[in-house]
Amino acid sequence: MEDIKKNRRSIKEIKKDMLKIIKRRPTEEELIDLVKIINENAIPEDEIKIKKIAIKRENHDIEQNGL
Amino acid sequence: MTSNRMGFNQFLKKVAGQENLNLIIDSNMLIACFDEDHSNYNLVSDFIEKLESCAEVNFFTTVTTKAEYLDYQRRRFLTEGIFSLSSLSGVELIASAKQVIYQMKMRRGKRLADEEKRVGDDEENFNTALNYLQDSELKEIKKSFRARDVQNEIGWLKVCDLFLKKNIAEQEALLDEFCNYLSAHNDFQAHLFKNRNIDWKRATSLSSATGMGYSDALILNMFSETNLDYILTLDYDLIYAVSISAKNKFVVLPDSRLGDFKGTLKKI
Repeated sequence: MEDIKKNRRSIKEIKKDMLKIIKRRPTEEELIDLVKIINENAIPEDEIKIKKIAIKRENHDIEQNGL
Repeated sequence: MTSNRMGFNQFLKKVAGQENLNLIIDSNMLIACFDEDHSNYNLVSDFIEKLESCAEVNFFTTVTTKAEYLDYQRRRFLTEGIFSLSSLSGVELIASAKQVIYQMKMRRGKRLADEEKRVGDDEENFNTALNYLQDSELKEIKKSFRARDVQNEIGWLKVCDLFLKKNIAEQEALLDEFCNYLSAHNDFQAHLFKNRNIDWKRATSLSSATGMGYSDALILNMFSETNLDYILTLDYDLIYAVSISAKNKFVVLPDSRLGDFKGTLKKI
C-alpha cells in the first residue's frame, strides 16, 4: 500500500490552489510585450501580397505556356 | 435485477464511516470539481468534500483521464489568454490575427447562445467546454500569426510560454497530489487488480458494444479489471456503458441525473 497516497492534503486545500492558478492573469506589460513579439515575427502584409501576386503569375504562366 | 446506478446522496449514506474506500473518478468530475465556472462545480465539489469528510477515500484514475483533464485546461488557458490580446490599450495586434480572433469570439458567442437554448432551465446540463476554443480554431489563430516557418514561430511559442507553461505544470502537480494513477504494472497496486494482464483489445469491444468514446472505453476496461466497486462520473455514455457492460460494479452520478436513465435503461 506504500504507493497509495495517504497523506495528501484535503480536497479543500488542493482546490484552493487549483483556483488560484485558474484565476492567475499575466500583467498588462507581459501582454503588451507578447503582442509586440507576435507582430515583429509575423511576415509583413506587403510580403504576403507580393507572394500571392507571384503565385498568381506563376499559375498564369503555367496555364498560358505550359511551363 | 436492481440498478447499478447510485445517486450522490445514496452513495454518501452507503459509504459513511468506511476506511480505505478505493474508487475511480472520471475526468469530467475532476474538471467540474476544480473549475468554478463549470456548470456542475457546486454539485461536484460539495459532493467530494462531503465524501472526504465521511469516509477515508483514495481517488484512483488513469493517465488517459489525466490527459483529458489537462487538455481541457490547455484549451481554457489558451482561449482566455488569446482573447485578452485583442483588447489591449496602447498596442495593436497585427490585423490578420485580430480579425481571426474576432471571428472566433463571434463563433464562441453563437455556440454558447445555442447551448443556452438547448439546455433551457437545466443549467447543470450546460456544456462548459463550449467556452473554450477547439483545436482546429487554435490552429487558425496560430496560422494568423503568420510566422515564416516553424523555426521562426516565436510569437506562438511565447503565447504558450506565457499562458500555459507554468499553469499546466502546477495543475498537473496538484492533480498528481489528489489522485492515484492505476497501473497494472505497479507491484504496490497488485492487490487492486483481479487481472494484471489487461487485455486492451477489450476496450475496442466495449466501445463498439455501446458506441462510447474510446477514452471512456479505456477507463471502463481498467475499472472492469480491478477490484474497485465504484466509478464517479457525469458522463452519460459512461453511465450507460457501466449499466450494460459492468453490471457487477456501481456507477455514481448526480441524483438529478438518475431520472435520465429510467426510460433508456429500464430494468437494467
